[in-house]
Amino acid sequence: MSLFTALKLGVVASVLFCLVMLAVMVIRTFSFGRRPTYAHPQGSNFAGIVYAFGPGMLPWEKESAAKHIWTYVGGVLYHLGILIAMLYLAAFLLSIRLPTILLQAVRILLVLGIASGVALLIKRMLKPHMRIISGGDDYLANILVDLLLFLALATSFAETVLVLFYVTAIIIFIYIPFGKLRHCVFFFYTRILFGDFFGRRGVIPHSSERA
Amino acid sequence: MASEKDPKDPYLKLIQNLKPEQLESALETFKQLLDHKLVADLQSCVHCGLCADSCHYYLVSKEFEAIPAYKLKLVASVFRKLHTALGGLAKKPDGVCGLDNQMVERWIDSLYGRCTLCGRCALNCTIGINITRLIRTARTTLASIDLVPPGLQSTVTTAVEKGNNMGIPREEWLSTLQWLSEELQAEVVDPEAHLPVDKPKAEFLYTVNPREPKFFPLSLLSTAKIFYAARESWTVSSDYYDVTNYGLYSGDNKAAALISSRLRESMIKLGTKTLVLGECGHGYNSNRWEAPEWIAAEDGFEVKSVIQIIAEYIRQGRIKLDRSRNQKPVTLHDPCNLVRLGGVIEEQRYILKNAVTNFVEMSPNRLQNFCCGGGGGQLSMTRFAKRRLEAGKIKADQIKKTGAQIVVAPCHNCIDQLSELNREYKLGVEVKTISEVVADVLVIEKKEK
Repeated sequence: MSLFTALKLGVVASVLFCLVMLAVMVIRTFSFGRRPTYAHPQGSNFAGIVYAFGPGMLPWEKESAAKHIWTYVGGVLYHLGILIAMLYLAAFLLSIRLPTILLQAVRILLVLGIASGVALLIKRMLKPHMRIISGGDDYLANILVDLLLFLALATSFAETVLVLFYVTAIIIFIYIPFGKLRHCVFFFYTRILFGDFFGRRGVIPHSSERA
Repeated sequence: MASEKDPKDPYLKLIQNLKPEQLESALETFKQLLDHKLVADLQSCVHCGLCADSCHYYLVSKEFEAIPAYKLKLVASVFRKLHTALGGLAKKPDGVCGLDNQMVERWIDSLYGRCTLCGRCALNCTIGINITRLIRTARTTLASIDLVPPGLQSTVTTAVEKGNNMGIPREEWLSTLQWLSEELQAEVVDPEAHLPVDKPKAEFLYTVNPREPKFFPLSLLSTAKIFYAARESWTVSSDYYDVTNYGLYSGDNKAAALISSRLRESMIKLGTKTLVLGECGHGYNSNRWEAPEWIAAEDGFEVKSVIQIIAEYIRQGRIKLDRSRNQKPVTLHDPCNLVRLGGVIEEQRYILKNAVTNFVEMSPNRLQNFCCGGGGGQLSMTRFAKRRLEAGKIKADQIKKTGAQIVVAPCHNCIDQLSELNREYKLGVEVKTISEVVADVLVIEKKEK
């Protein structure tokens, strides 16, 4: 078995490990039980959930995004970069060759993702209130993901770096369930709960007005 | 903690001398309170820090203890210690982990002392974490070992023992109602006008903040005048009429359930169809949304805010208003528990547009309104009063910017805080309830014989 084949299998195994662990975490979370709700609804849970994943994500609806628009844009680009890196990784695993024009687009998005990730890391290190709420996991997760994006970009220019790209991917997939990166699942979980809570009370969907 | 550094402070001593079995007991309560929603929230924070600017305490003080993510982290670290393999190893930035005396002190300082449970951080959280619910869960944990700050606890105790949070004796309540009936008769020139007490099978049971009969009886008179003009069939209960429920703030679910269940008993006893909640933000959240969960039973009747009732009167033409009588610029404060956590958002605006000629919105408003600082039980926790008034600067600045001469707040707690802010920041405004504003411009038509 060649090194590349072994690493490919390693990536697949780590993805499976990650998925199983995340599934266990979700099942365990559910195992804490569900309390029945007794108050009569005023609004729609469903409409609240739709809002939570739709308009509720937009900066003019969410003050935290509106007040920190560059962090918001950086966050969007960072996550877009991560998605692209994951798809690029999948393309290598499936031996799919990207056409040049698509590859150029991938490179641009990866560069934007890396720049955003590094900017967010610097912000975390420089802002006193960010340092207070941050732990080792916050820095490690950011650095690992930035590295993955960088190696994805490097691989797009020189496939000799592919080994490092695979190794980093394996580390990240193993790390995901143990740190903040698990929000790749819990974000959706929590967002549904958010929409359910405020939607039921008829608070959302409702247009907000800000300063 | 801010103002409780006095080593003789018995509350501080209580915290410092907590016994291991008390901490064990608190942890057991904490474990029992966890459900899948809380656990998902506890695992979701990415520490983006964007919630900081949502909190009026942080905006004014810039102290890290006020950052919602920090407050969440205090609770999450106890959860992690209990429920994750690596949790025992994980240390907080300040070295505290798990529920020990130090952590209890931090919980009290940040979760009671720097939070009004206004829900603004939850609404603006990037992820959507219900930070408010997590903080209240921590308060419930502390309440289980009798660590509710004394002022707040005494308000709950009074409500439980005396039937209302001001300890108004039944005779005093009834004589106030009698006096107000006479006032109403004089105002509307109708000897039959009165505030009905224990009237069976009325359309609704009206509940009030005990501050009304105690300190602001004319506010209750205003509401009675509106009901009179609308020819409403209503009643108050001679026993249980307190719309407030400080159990929401203390975290004591048992007391909260008892207080709210009494209103329900009155409903059943009198056979009324709708429970109408007076102008009280947390009273609305407690009795409309939380009480069925505390009591673990569905309400067999409707629960509405008096704001919704007045808006219906105007829509249906049951009351007539002459808004030209109010020419002063008027602004509206959105009580967090009524608006952001309650879903009563537009009715008060509809009423004011019909009741005043010059309505000016604060900015931000509606869901994004800033808490006045009076919620979360802060008004009764004197040890945190300095912080409360400082944090209220955000609201004071909002009011100043509107140029309004009248600030309307459909909540008596908010009115208390706004009145203090009025003095503290020299705003020079009048602070009124919705009912007072409406009653001022009410056109009373003579009753047909």
